Amino acid sequence: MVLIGFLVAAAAILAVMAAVARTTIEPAAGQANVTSMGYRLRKGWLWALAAAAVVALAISIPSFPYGKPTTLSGKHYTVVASQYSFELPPAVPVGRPVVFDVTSKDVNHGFGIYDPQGRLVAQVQAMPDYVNHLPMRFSVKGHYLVRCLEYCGIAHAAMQGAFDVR
Amino acid sequence: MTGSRRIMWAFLSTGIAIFGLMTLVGFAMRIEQAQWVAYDPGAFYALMTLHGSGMIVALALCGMGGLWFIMDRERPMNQGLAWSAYALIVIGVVAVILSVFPGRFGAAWTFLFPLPFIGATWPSWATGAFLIGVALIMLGWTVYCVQLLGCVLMKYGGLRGATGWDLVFHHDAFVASGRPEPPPAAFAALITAVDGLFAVAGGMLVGVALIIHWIDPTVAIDPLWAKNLTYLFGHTFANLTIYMAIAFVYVALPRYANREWHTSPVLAIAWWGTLLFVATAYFHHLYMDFVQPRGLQYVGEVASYLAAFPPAVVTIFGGALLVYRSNLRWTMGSMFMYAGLVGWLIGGVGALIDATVPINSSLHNTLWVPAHFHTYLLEGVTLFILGWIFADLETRSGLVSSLLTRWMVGIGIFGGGALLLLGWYVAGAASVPRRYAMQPSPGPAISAWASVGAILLIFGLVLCLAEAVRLARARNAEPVV
Amino acid sequence: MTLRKLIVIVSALAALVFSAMPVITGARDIGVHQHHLDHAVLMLLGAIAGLALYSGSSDRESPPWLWVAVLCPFIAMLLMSPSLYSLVDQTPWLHSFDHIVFVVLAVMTAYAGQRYVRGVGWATALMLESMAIVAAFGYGVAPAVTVLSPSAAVTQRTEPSGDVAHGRVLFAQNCAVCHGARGEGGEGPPLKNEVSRKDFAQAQAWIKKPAPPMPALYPNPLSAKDVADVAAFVESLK
Repeated sequence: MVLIGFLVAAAAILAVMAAVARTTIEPAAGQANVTSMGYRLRKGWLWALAAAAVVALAISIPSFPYGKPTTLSGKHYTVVASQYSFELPPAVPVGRPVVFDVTSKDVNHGFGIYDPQGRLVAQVQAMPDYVNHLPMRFSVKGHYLVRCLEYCGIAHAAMQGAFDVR
Repeated sequence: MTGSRRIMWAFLSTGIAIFGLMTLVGFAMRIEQAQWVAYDPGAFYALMTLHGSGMIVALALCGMGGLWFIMDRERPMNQGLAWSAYALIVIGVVAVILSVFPGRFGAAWTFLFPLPFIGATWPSWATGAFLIGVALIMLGWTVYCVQLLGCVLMKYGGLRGATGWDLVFHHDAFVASGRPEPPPAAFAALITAVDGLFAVAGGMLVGVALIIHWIDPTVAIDPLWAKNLTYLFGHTFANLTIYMAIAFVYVALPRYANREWHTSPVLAIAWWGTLLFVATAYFHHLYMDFVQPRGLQYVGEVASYLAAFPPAVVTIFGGALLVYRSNLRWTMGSMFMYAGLVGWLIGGVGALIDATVPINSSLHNTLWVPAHFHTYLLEGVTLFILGWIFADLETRSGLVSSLLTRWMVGIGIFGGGALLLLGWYVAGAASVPRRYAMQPSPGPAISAWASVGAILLIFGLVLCLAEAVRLARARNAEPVV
Repeated sequence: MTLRKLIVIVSALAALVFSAMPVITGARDIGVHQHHLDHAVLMLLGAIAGLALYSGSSDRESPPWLWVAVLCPFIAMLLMSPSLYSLVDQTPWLHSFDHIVFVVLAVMTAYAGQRYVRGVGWATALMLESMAIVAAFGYGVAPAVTVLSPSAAVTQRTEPSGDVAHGRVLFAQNCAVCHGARGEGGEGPPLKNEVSRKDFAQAQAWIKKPAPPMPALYPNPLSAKDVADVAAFVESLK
């Protein structure tokens, strides 16, 4: 989805910029005419971008993943990361709200949850001295893989864990 | 060669040399991920550290040299200070290289506390060499920014003149007074200096704290605090490489198009926006740190969105308008500059997608991140720099490159580049993490065709270098720049 | 007397009085956070004095002053080292002297900036002041310990039960190439104080089923008993 949206936007940009570049085959006489046309166009472009930004903010802000630990409902599970492994709960329930309390014993790590299809569905940083609370609600049962998503040293790429959702 | 031109070429040639070296380092990483060659992860992460820190410094050096030269023509600056900044940065780079060869320091350019000190597979001196090297680079950067700030303050009458305050709010009176208006490149200089000093204040603070911790490990450091300052410096410094290099486009593209790029009140206001949002957008690096004060997460998303407005509405739009129906001569120089605007815009779209918090949850620290920043560094900043170099060589030699050469370079740099970049975008969307010496599937397969793109890209860059050497040898005209 | 002179005198006097506080009150062990903030106040007064001190209107660069303006904040950050604090905290007169150094550095930062090119002093002074304030929130200050929710407390640690001497021999043969003879690290990560990261059971589990690039040596050449012995040795590394 994200990739397709990006590729469409990139293709549109390429097409427009290429079309502009082609106009140098037939130059206009002066700069003034082009400029006044451009300034009108720019106003429309500005408003279109502003509208897009407002829509994107309005859609995205309500689904920010942040919450205070006291207001988060659901059972809490502790996740402790260290070079180069995770201490994880063996299983968490499906369909119910859960909260992962994530921290680290040594350096910064990332707690990235991959669903059974191998898609990254959620993540939070595992930091020393701090506990990050990640609220989740799993709708699909199965075996979930955890990968480290913050560079943490020589075996970073091998740092994995897993838990079941059932 | 005049003194100031010599300074520009010292910065540019050193930057290009480091760039070339780091391109090979990047290629070595990519083919390891593609599993064409195998070496141990410790070496991979050491190379990754070198590639990240080296590339940014390479691009910064090129931008610094060119911008210094442009501003020096506005108001001559002390050359000794420019050479000092250059020397500090070069010594810093040497220290960083030594920390990797032979030190094998591998905590990434982000040197996220406490990684340089815990679980280190490298000796302690390598950590020290890296930290001191980075501190020297920051010191050189500070000298440069202070000098640039002094230059615009002197030339345009203090901060009020340099920001174009009267141009915007007392437009008619300003025009009637006949005072010099800052040209567009001067805004790039002002924003580079101010945001550069703002960022380096944070960078210097965390840098000193880490050096002190290296000397005395009992000195505690707050990991969240260190992360904020690291990204404040790193993000802003990397961003400013674009805003320095955009000055090249402001100066050279109008010459190719036989048109003028004036300072308008809109352009001034756009740069005020850039001043503000470049300094506050870095919070998007901490979206996945849920302990970060919540308000800053909102600031991060809003500032990241708003940072896109000045380039999209004023600079890139203005560049397209400048080219539209002009009698622009398509040479290597103009081709690179125009293509750089396109790359910047496309990379910006990738960045905006990732700067949206709910999407960031599934893209943060995946290969989407190197995808978008390589787009505007490789197909943006690098092209502005190449465009600037060719603009200078073309005017001085009176020669232009053949259509065939331009096509071949274009296929290499744009075609090969697109293939390389697409690899990261596709893998990022498929949740492949970044900074993995051994990628999970489908990483290696994607890395393989991205490596083919990288070979094409390197071919284009080498051809480019050969063409630059050909033009440089044929200097028969007086410098026009 | 001009307003400018008045500002210089008032801010310098205030800075002096504030600098002498350790001698006057004999305060000790005030904590790094508070200490940084106190220094930020001193530097603010110094910066104000430095800015007011300069009354010229330079229209050309004075390059040597740039170095003063750039290096003073850097030196100030080095001197704000929390390990120096613990030293001066014990000696009030040294502490007051230390404060005066900070005031002088702030005056120099602002004044030298102005001398270099008028207006630059504001930028360098702001840089110094913001660094001094931000330092209070992480430079020598960190959340004390990891505060985990109650569920973490149930994690039981298993204590080592294996032949450390035998483990030492096996380690030298199989592990030292990458991890160093005494676990100091090399190709592989150092294992000193590994006990803080993995308990005995976790260490055994890791050795039996490691992640690449570490090779799996269980069940061959190491038996379960061998793994326990190596783990016991690793847990003993300090």
